[in-house]
Amino acid sequence: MSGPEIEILLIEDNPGDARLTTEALKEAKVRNKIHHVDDGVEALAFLRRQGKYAAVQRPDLILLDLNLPRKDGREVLAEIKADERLRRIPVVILTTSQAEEDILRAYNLNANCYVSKPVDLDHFIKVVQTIHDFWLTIVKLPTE
Amino acid sequence: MVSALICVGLLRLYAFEMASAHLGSSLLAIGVIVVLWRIAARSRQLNQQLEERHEALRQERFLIGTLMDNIPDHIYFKDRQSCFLRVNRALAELFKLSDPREAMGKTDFDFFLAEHAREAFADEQEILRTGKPLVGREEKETWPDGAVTWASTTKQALRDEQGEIIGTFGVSRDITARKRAEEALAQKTRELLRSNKELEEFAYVASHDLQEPLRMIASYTQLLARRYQGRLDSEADEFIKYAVDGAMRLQVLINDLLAYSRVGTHGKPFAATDCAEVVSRVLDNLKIAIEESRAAVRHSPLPKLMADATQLTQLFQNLISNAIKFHDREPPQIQISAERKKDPHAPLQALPPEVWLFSVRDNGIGIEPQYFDRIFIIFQRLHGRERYPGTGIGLAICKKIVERHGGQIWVESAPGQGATFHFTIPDAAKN
Repeated sequence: MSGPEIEILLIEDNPGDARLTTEALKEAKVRNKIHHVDDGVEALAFLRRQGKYAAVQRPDLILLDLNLPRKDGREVLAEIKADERLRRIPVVILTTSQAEEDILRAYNLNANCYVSKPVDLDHFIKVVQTIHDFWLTIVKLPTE
Repeated sequence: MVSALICVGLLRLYAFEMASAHLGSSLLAIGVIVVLWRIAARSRQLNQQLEERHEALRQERFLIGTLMDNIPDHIYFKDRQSCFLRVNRALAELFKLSDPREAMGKTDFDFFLAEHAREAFADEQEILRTGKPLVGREEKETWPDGAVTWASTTKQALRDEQGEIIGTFGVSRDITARKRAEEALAQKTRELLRSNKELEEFAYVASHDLQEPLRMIASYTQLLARRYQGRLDSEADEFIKYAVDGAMRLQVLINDLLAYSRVGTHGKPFAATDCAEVVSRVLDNLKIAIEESRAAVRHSPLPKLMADATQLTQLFQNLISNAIKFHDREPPQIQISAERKKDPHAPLQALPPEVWLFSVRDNGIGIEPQYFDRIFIIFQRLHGRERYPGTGIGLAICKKIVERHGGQIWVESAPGQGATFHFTIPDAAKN
């Protein structure tokens, strides 16, 4: 458990899911810091370090739910990928939807990957940890 | 004409006889009598023929009159301007005329609203133009009092002796009652389709939206079990276990319900499908279960037909995995076959449609006849969960898939004698 702390932004409106994801990430091998926002407007304010988020660090990984209040996940995704300063941050769609059109749309908006939340807890924890391991320890990302 | 010829002949004969001038006057008298007698006979014969023709005409008129006065269908003759030449009594009554002759010279515009009269006029002009009959045309008749009636009409060209078209004539029958029944039936069918669709959508939305809160319940009871197992008292562990079990079972039920409703809402259009390929894919999917149970699955040649391949795969998979699951001590022996047949469930008709009749036979525990219908109902189970696990969705899904393909499914079995599941799929190419 050394090296710089990994920053993860979790954009999820369901507190139960947010907590489960946080619990799963706590058991991860790599030290991480999870920031949780529960709607799309807050998420973009966080990423652009606006208002109360002026001092936050830009995250290394974004976990994004699709169905969010105020500004939904698809719009958030589109704005991230259109933003020169944010577009290289990996965005993992983590949602209950298994609808073909949601999957297609997410990839058309340049989501880095799309994951349906598994129903079973053990499976869910494993998936969250796999996402974490893959994006934060296996893949090489550009350094800013 | 004939008698005139005879007269001329006789006169010539007479002149000849005169010229000969040798024959006696008595012979001449006899000749005249014979001639006159012949003329009289001929005249009687002609009178009789005339009388017979009159009688035939009377008979003809009587038959036509009987037809025109009594037949409940409406009969008319019209000229080239669609003015009535003649109508029968039923049509006169329909027009509220006391005598059919009152219709003469009038047109449909005098009796109906222009909406119908215009259409009838156009049809008749078309017949005058083409000479082609209009058979069994369903006409919506609109009346000045707002009433609407329906008639099935056959019209054709009226020709004179030279074959020239001089008008039209036709027969029409009131089909208002049938038409209303058809409309009521169509309305009911539309309502039924709509409510079925709503029900399917409801089941889909319900099962889909129920998953979200259920996932929370299941996840947190599981998390509770993970974190606190053995750290509370034994009662708490037991309670947690039941909560986890219940949540997991509910999850399976909701998933099954979702799968069931997807048959109707997420079906694909039918395409040419090779059943042999479908079955081999199924056997591949069930490889582990087949090996573990030492099952022997055989199949005779299977056809290609129009179907939703994904659903057909699910259908065979459910039937074969049931056949594997419900076995006793003997390893499962499963035989799949298909043959082309006249549809055994088609209503009586001259040419019953052809179907493929599939059979999946096993040597398993069998089913008592009283459960033959129940097993196809959603979530109906015949055995304890410990011995034969499952929610009871498999055969309900099979039934829905078969019915979506326009077929039927049923079972033949006796306890301890194995079971044979039969289903039909219409042979779309042949029907």
